Amino acid sequence: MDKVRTWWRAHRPSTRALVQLYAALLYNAHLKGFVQGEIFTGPTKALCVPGLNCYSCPGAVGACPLGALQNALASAGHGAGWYVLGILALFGLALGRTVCGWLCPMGLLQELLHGIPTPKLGKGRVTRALSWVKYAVLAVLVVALPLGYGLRHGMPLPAFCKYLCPAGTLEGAVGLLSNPANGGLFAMLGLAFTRKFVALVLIALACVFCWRAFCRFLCPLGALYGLFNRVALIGVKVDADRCNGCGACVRRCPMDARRVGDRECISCGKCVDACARGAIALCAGRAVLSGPKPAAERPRRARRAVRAAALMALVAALVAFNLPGAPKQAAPEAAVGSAVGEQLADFTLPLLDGTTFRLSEHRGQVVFINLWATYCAPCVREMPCFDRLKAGHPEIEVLAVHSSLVTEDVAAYLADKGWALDFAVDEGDAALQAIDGSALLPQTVVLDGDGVVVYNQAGSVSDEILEELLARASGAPPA
Amino acid sequence: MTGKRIYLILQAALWTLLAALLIAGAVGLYREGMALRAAGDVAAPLFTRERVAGRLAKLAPLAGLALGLTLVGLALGVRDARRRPAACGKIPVRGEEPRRTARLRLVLLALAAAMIALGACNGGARDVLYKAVNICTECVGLG
Repeated sequence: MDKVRTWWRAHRPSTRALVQLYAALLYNAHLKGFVQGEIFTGPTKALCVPGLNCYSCPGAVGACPLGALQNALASAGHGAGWYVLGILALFGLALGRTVCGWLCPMGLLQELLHGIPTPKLGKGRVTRALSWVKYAVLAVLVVALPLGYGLRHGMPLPAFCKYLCPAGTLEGAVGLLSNPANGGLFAMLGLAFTRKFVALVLIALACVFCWRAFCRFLCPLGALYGLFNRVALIGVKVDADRCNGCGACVRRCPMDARRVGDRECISCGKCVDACARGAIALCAGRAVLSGPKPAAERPRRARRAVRAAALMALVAALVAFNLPGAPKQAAPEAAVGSAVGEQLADFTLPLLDGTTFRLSEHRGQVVFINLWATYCAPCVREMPCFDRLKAGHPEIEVLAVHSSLVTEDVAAYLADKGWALDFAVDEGDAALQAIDGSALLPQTVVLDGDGVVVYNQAGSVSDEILEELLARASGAPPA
Repeated sequence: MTGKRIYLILQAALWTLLAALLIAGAVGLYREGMALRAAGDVAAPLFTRERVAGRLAKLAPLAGLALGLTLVGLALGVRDARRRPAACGKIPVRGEEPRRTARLRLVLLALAAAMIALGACNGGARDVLYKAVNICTECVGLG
């Protein structure tokens, strides 16, 4: 029994690990999303969480601050960035990089990977130099590219999400793909997925050998919060009267900090344990949260109350986000549906040119329905393909349905584009319901002359694919 | 070389091999799909659930071995405990928080709150919501 107790004392999770797990659970409280393979679309997604947690994760109940920041910068011309910048500044001022050490799910994952017993790489001049790379990532992928591309082309390019973010690949892509209900998503995987999957594997491997490799060298969110470390309310502080400058704190520090509380410090608290003189503590302003104070002096009641409140909040979130929602409307007839081979239900939409689109009026024609949004770069990029298709085949119908979530005047946006298609805004989600649209953009549905679905897929298309789909729908060999 | 050292090196080799095979698998699937498209089926999916599952099934024994060895090592408390010198020199420490830092924090906090309020009024919160619930597939590594 004593052996078990000793083993448990040596291996039990630290308070920090429990807080990290708590934060990961709270950010991803929509657990039924993992079962259903659908993302959460409730109003709490207007709020950013402090840590790096992709909003396309089926469990995510909040927005990723980096994804939101890039999208906001891409819309800088519309003045939409104040909200995200304010939230990031608030988190930075309150917590600084304490977020990285305590509240980031990716941090927890990196530490778990580092727990795999292998030879480990220590820190030194090379890692210190590499720690500057994340500032370049922040400047180029998070700020310059989204801002520049947004201003120049009028559409977003969240470059960090698109090219590098391991949270997006792991939580979003792999999280959605691993559910059997999303088998259709495999068809849209391509070079972007391959590239990001390779990046994810390399980053994960680096984390096995090197403590928090992504956090230290690549994470732009950590770089951003690091800028606030000096003024952050919560963080590790040193009592200058007790400190003798022995340097034990920095030798023990697994990050690349040169001094306690500098831009690299994530307030993990290893220096608190390392300090023989009890000069270091995790503080919130002047209040000591965790430090060398004798146990008797600590306000145990207050701690228990905080723990109980936190636990209740988590339970409440898990219950609230996982309550069964309203059941989906059943299809009116067995043969009607949105899967390939089924007849698409009729729907009516007011077009932006003032006329009305009714699906049943287009029987005998091949119909392409494209779900898109002005803020979805791949959607905007593929729109000329639909325009060329329509120009080359005037006998077909192409309907471009903008998502009901409108961030700008769609008609004004289209004014100078010159696309000769039928455009509609899906205000009542009539088209979305008819084609069983997901929260993923873009999505294309192709109907043959009898109104039967021959293709229904989220993901980008090209000229060649559209010609192939047209041939499939009209029963003719491709040109 | 001690048994512990051999174990650690074996673990490193196993996990590196697993990562290399995962990368090779993903790239291989992509190339196979591209070859199909080049052969004329331009709408052919590059990845399919069956092909991905087939590749993953081949890696399962190696992944199981690596995971099993890891769990054994963790239970026995094996780890790389070599001491490495920190190349950080003498450490300056931060003293008590100066008053101007506290004042600066307050000013910045007020500024942040004002930015959030302004953003909430000009539709910034709505934009965040819309882009978080209508996901651009390309941006998360799909598509």
